[in-house]
Amino acid sequence: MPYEGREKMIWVRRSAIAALFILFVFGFKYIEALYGLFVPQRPAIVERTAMYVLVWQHLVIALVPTLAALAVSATAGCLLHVYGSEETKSLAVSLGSIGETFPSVAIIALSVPVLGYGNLPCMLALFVYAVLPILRNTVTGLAEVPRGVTEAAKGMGMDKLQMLFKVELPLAWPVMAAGLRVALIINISAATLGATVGAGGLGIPIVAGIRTYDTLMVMKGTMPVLLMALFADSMFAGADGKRSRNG
Amino acid sequence: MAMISIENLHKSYGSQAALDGFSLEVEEGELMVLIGPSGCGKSTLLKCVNRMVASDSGSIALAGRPVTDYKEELLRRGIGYCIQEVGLFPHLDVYENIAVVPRLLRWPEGRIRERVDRLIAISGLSAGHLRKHPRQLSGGEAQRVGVLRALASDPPVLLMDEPFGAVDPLNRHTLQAEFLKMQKELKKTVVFVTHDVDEAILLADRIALMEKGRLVAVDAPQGLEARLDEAFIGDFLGSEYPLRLLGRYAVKELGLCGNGAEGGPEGDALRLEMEPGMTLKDLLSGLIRAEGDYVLVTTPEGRDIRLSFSDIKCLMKGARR
Repeated sequence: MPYEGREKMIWVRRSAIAALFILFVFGFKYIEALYGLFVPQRPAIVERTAMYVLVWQHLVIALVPTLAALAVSATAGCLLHVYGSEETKSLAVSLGSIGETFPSVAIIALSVPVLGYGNLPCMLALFVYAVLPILRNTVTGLAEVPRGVTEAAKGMGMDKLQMLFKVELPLAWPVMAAGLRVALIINISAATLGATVGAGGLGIPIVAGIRTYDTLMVMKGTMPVLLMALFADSMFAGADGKRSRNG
Repeated sequence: MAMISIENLHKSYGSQAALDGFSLEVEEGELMVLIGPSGCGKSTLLKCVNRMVASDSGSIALAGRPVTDYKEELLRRGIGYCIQEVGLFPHLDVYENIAVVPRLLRWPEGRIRERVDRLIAISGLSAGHLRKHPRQLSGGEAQRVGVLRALASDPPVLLMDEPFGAVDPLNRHTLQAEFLKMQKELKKTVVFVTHDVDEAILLADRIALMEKGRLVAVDAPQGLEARLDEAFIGDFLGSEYPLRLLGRYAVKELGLCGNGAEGGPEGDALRLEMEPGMTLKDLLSGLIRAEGDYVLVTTPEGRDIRLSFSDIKCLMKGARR
């Protein structure tokens, strides 16, 4: 498909997901009313927090640690690339792979004794969980820049910082973005686990729904999370397109 | 004074000596080809000039000033550098690729544009290539951009490490011819690394033959012919070197200097068109193909000239003067 056509498709997808999301969040009370017609005996749960507040909390809990992780990992990855030895680099790559297999529930559980209940332990867990894959992909992406390109850059008289910012980072970005994509999507869904340790967000209706066997309640938390994750994913579709366009 | 003076250069990797007391002077405007078997240190030597590789001892001076006097990056910005991998930046278009060094030197945008336009004009590329990205270029086009990028800031010295090595033979020949034409106009001091004897013969003002980190011989391509009996020279250049040397001389440039009778018995004699790139080698091949004593060469003006083997010998003599 020609590039412009693909770009258009990506925008159609993004808009469709965003529209569904807004419809669900603000039209939930109508869905609830409709559902009530078919399932009259629903457990009476008192709504304490408005839907849009839950969504906002969820966004903060998922995005802030991921962006912080991006800043920390990208910086650390660049420092490792410029000053690190081959051993430290491969250590970072292995750590990243091991980190991805570590369950996020475990990190949340482990951080509660230190940080107490609330948003913080959850955000710390998500931060730790995002740092490793992004760091791994930063190191890999920078190392994968073709040797001829870096040699030409050096031979033309770029210093280390110029090489990093003008050549290596732009070329490593698609690989870094792939790491960020994974981290972000996992964190959007993993942020629901925070409800078990007193954090806010869309985990609250899910946990409440499970306790009371209320399917609609579970859906109330799940659907927005699903759509947010899909939307985040579609935001990265462009990054891939750019890579294939620029070789 | 020589543009590049290399004196008693040593460089070893571990116990392996890449350069072992290498000395060479390259004159201003000269195209010096470094040739030798793989691992003879020719690339290492090239990289010592712009300090991509640090030598262990010895010295290199550019126009009398030691390269170690400069800050590494500033030295490299003043020297054109062109490698076999090309190493174009995939995320930048052709214009931006050529503009890299001028931008490092903080040229104003107007001057950069002017320079890029001028370079495109003397190359085999068109202005339509400027907004393309490297992955949209053929191998030959990418190599041309690589050469232009090295020439972008108009550096006096150009270092080229097998720049046409990865291109197919037909394209390589075109690129060599184009580069030679550009060099005749620009008169850069060029150090050109290759392992291709034909390429060396075609391009070189002088050829520096290397073996095991040492200079074996440095001479004009026709000068090396007389030294084929010397041990390594004959082995590396091969006994067919004089034949290859014929490829250096364009029949057109030599002029037919009154050789060969005009016309003559037509009959079934082999007739060759005199194209601009026709060399003495093509002429000799024609003679072999003709299985006769002469070939008929049609000049661009439409005259037929009869050339025999003794005419080639005469042309050779003229070329060597």
